[in-house]
Amino acid sequence: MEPSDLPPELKGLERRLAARSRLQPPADLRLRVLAAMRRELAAQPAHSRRSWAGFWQYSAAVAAGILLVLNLLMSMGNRSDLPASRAANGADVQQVAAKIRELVPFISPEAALCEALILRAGSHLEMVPQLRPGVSSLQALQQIEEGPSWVTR
Amino acid sequence: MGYAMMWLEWLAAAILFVAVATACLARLRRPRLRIGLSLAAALLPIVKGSVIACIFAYVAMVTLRPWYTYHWFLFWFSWTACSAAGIVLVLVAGLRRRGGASPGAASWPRGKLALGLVAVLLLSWITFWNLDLSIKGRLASLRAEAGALALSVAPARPAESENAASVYRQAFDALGKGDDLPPEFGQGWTDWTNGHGSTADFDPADPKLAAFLARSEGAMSLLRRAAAMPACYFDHDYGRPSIWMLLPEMTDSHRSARLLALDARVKASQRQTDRAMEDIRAVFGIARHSTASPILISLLIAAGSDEAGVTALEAVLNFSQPSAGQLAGLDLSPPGMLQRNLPRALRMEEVFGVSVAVDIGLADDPLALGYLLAVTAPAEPFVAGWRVFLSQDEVAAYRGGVREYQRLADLPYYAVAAEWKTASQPESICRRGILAKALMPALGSCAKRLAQGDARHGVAYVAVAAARYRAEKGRLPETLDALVPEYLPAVPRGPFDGKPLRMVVRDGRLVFYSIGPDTKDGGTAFDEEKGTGDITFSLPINVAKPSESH
Repeated sequence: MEPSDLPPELKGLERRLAARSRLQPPADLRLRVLAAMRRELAAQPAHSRRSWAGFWQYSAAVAAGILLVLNLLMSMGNRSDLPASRAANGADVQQVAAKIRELVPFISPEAALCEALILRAGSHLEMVPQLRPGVSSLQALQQIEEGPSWVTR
Repeated sequence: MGYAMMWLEWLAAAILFVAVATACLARLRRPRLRIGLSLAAALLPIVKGSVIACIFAYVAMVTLRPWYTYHWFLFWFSWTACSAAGIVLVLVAGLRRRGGASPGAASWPRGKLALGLVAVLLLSWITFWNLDLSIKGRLASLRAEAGALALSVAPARPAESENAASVYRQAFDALGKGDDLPPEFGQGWTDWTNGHGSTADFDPADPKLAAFLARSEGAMSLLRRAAAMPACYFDHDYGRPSIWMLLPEMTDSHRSARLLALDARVKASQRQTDRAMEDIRAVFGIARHSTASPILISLLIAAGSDEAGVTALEAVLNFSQPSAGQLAGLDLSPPGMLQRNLPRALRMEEVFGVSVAVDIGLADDPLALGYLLAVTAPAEPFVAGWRVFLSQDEVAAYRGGVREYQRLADLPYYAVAAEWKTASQPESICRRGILAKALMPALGSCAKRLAQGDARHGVAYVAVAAARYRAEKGRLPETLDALVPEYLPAVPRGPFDGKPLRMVVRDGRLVFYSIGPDTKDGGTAFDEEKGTGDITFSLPINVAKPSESH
């Protein structure tokens, strides 16, 4: 339907409506919308970067933990079988100290005790370095039979 | 490096521990309880560090070192100070309220902090473990090194035909175990045998004594034969020497020398000079053989045997005038035998000391810890702490001390007497550390003792030459130089002053003497306790006619 076909009262209404003042948007609306859009666009990749960083942090922590445990296991595995404690007999030391005093009367009781104590330590000496840790009994036996490498070489 | 890592890790652990505790306690609603418990948690590491620092300060003071420069004290003091500073910062940040709201620590991530604490604790434990393991390894190689050193000073095995050991064994078996001087002989006779008693205590005609000597004659005959042989090597594992291995022979040698010295005196009193001289020769032979064992106690026993021989010789020369042939048959070794063997014995002492240190470090010998460090039943953490923090320094300081003794022992005593005195003073030994303080005092006085023994042997050596001169020429020499070169290659030097031995006529006797440890030519009798006076050997100017064998 053409505007000219409108009834006169509607035409009048149309004129009145067209004559009304229109509400204008604020001048910075465009800028604000654009800035908000820019922010949103910028925020989207940062979030994904944060996810990546979290993943790497987690991975690094797990790797550090694994390395720590491996290090600990290696340290424990390196524990060599150093000689076990020997039963010590205090009475023997006293007897030996008394005997030393008898043989060397001018030596003081403390010095005799000290000499008795250190003279017993000589029997703990080793002629060759300890066997490598982690060697099985069979291998250890072979090593003893063959002699240490620095002797056989 | 390891110690720096440990320092840092323990510091991080202390701070994290307080951070975790503060974060947990910050949730408490009662402020006083929250602050009190947080402070208590903060005090734990600080108190621990302070106690350990105090222990090391005590160790420094015991060993007469200034505690404020002792590196382990500084290690723990700096750790405690830094821990305290870090902990204060954590407490301030954690307990301060922000605008009336809950404390700052309430928002701290407890889980992450706890995880960090566990990781740091684990890390510090691994570091400590690795350090401990490396030191254990070093101690084990030190034990092998000591074993090699023991072998290097072990006596050489002589040809079987020259080895007196098997003859000695027969003699010792013949002597029987525990069949020493019969107890009824009393202390007087024992003192007399050792040269400390007077003849009033002793009756050579005692039938019991005669019966005892007759009973022992078979053994003494073997002993004389053994002592005349050039060398003595008892078949032992000298790579692992111990007191139990050597003590029976030391005891038997000592008994044998005393027995022969006693027999020499009895025979001399019975005018059996030839037999007496054979006995004395055997005593000197036993002393010479005893020096072959590279053990300090053995050397001191040899000095004792030699002294018994010198005392018996002096007594015999007072009773009678042996012939030139009998005197030449004595075949006294030149003076200085004891001191010549001291460096070897000190090397073996180093072996023993290192072995004790290794035993303590590897917790193989709690008894040694108990005796030497006055710690009974030490717990494993104590031993580990000793090992990681102290053992290396202590072993190095002990070896430094013994090597200083070895250096001095290689030089004539008179040249380094002052250094010996300084090195063997308790303060000097103390400054070398706990191990040296416990092990070294027994060694310090030995050099002087052996020098005394050499001086005693030296004057006897000169006196025998003078007695030979008299036996051949019918008069005593006017000076000692008159004995050179026919009877002596040179006049021996005294070990305390480095000057030729002296001779004077005093109270109708010809006195040969060496200046004593006080280095004063005082003409006084030697005082064993004070170390003053001269070491003398006197010959009567007028004696009975020379006698050949009876």
